[in-house]
Amino acid sequence: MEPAAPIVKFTSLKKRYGTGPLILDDINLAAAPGDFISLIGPSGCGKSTILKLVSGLSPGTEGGLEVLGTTPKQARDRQAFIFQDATLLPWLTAQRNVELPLRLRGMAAGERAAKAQEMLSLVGLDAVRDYYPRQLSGGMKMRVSIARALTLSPQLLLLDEPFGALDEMTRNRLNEELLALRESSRFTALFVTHSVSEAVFLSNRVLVMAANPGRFHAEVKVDFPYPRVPALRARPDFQAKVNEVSQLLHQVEEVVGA
Amino acid sequence: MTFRRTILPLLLAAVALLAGCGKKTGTAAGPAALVKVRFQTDWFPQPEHGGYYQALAKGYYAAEGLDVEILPGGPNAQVMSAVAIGRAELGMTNGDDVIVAVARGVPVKMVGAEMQRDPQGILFHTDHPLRDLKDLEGKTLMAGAGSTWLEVARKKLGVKFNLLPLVGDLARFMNDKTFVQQCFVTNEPFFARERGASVGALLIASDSYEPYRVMFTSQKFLAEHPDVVAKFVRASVKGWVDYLGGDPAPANQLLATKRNDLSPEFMAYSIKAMNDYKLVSGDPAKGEFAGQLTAARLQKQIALLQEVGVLDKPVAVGDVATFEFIPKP
Amino acid sequence: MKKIPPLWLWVLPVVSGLLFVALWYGVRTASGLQSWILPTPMEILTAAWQEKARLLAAAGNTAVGALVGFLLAGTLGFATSLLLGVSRSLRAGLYPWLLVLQMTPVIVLTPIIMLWAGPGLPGIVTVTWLISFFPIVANMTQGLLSTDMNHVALFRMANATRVQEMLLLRVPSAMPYYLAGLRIAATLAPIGAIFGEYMVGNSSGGTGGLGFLVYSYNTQIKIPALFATALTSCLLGFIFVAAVSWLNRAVLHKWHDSFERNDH
Repeated sequence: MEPAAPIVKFTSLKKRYGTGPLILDDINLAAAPGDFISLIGPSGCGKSTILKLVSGLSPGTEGGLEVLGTTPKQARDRQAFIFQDATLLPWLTAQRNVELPLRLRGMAAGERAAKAQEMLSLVGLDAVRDYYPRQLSGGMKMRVSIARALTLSPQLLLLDEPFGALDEMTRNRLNEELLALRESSRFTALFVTHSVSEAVFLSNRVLVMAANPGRFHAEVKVDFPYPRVPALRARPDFQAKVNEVSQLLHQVEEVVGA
Repeated sequence: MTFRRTILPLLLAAVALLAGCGKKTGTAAGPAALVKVRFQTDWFPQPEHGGYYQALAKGYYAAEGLDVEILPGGPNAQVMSAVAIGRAELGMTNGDDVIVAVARGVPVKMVGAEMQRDPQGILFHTDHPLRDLKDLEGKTLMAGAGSTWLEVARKKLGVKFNLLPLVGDLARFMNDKTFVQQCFVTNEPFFARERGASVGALLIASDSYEPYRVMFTSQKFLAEHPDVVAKFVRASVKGWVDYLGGDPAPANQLLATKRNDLSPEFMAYSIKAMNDYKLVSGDPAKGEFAGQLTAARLQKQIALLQEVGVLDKPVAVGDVATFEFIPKP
Repeated sequence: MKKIPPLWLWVLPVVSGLLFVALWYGVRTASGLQSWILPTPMEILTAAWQEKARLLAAAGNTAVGALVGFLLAGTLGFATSLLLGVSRSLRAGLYPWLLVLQMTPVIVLTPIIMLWAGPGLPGIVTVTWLISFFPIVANMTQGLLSTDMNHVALFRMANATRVQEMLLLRVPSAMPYYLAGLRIAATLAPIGAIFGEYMVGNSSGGTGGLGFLVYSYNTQIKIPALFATALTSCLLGFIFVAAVSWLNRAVLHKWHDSFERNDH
């Protein structure tokens, strides 16, 4: 059986700003459909920059990058980006925020209202759809952001430390909800995080990056089957994976000081 | 979005209001055959403009086939510019202003006198009276900084005084019995006396300095519509004579609709002052009459202004005035 | 629904007001000044009552001038800000001249305004507009340029057109700034209208506006009435500001952090 075409393909990609120092050096990565890839590493290793490259928000300097078989900008209509903060427009209700991508596409008002309500139900926020962002908790805002991202059924989801500002319990809940959504929505994900256990819980591949310049240091395959349950976190083999990744992280963090 | 709903009505309201407040162009046609004339005055409507309002109220303009609109002025009334660029067909101002303007190249001309003597004066408390301009020597005076008469006093008469810029009220004057302030003899003395002060007013016009108060027009309008100018001057002088000699009620009633802060006592005082000082009618002993301009007096005025240095270049009497419209006494 | 403030929030201003009035009487008695320099509060209120018809009519005239000038400033300010926000070259080309306009003392421009617009409402509206315009433009332009960069990225990810980005993101995002500019303009517009009336106004409608009354009472040395005119001007100003504050609240209170949340 032929392997399916990669969703994202980096080929020896380098990036620098202007004539400055190298931000990313020799990035090679092929993401297969259905992969959930976490990028983890010390500050300044360029993990967020990778997401910006894939979304076309930032250009590469050298080397190849293909997203969904074409250039990043061309592939935007099949991607969605979830930012570090929920980036909800404060003057719109939750529902109107979710409607936004549909509105920008020109969908009629009644149609997009129905679709937005459907997405909000999917994340369990049907009751607050007429609330304004400042009336919502951090976790709820992030769920709205996810609902908005999934409205157009993207093939590729880019997430930049979306749960970093939340408390551990909410964060764990949202991890589980995200995986549940993936079961029905079938997207490929590139996920940036600082949390090792989050990376291991969510992903089938964890890429550890090093800084100065940013580059891939090691990859850890996480073979636990999907769908994954909360009880997974308590298992010893899960802990073992977490330790494995942590050790790799320590390696790169020690080097940074040199 | 709510923003579109609040901003859009604001936008529409503003546009609607603007449309309703469009500037008047003054070219709307009156009843058939009446010629529209805009006359620019130099201040808010007041008894010192009474002759024109009398002519309007009693139909003298209409009888001449003119539909006259008296444009009020104010603190920044640009009477000279308004007439020069055609925003008004005719205007009224101090005769010196016309002479200075013509010397500066502004294409205007006097067509008749409104007053034989300008009503500018100096207000004083009777405890410290002024008999003539020389009495200003060493005093502190509040006056309009650009006034021609100041130059005359300084340069021709050699009087030295301290000058304070003119403000629109008498607060300082009322508080200081030695204070003297430029005024109109038809105006400020009334209010000072109403507040219990004992005052007098020295008329600045004298043998050595005698500006007219004039009606004037642009040279363009004069060339194109001399008949209209003639009619306007004729009707206006008739209005003035009637206002000061006959029953001023028609004009006063019209004035009261323009401003509701002119009391009957004040209007009566202004009229009396204009008569007492013979401002409009002039001195019959000198052969003066209402509306008259004489070449001799204008020549004297031009020479005086030249001497004190306010004229950009020399002008001839014929440049500043035309005598063809002066009505018979 | 606003919470009723504690009693002392109301009592304090009243107490200081009474102290001020007492001081006024004290100064007046001690200095021996007459009523036509420093009238007593009682004389002012009496004059206000006597002149109430004239004051009300004048306040109405002034309100019209202030309102039209303010609306002009609000709409032209909005449009100008859009222009400045959209294009860097327009911004570079226009903004310095706007500054020049702002810096030129209005008093210098009044003869020119008088000539173009004539005395009366058009001139007054022009003066009011001149005074109110710049704060609105400055604030709203700042707002358009201060759009959250993550939001811009969001719109870029959705391949939004420039028009969509302007109308659906930048303009709503700039609304709090625009309203702040309007609030400033609301304090300036009534003063501007009165100043305009004083400089380029006339006695239109028999009364003119509050600016004309200032001239009228001043020349007649009716000083208590003059102070009453000042009092009326204050009240007009308060009404103006209150109206714009209400607008500000109506647009922002549901979602903007400048209003306290009432549901937690």
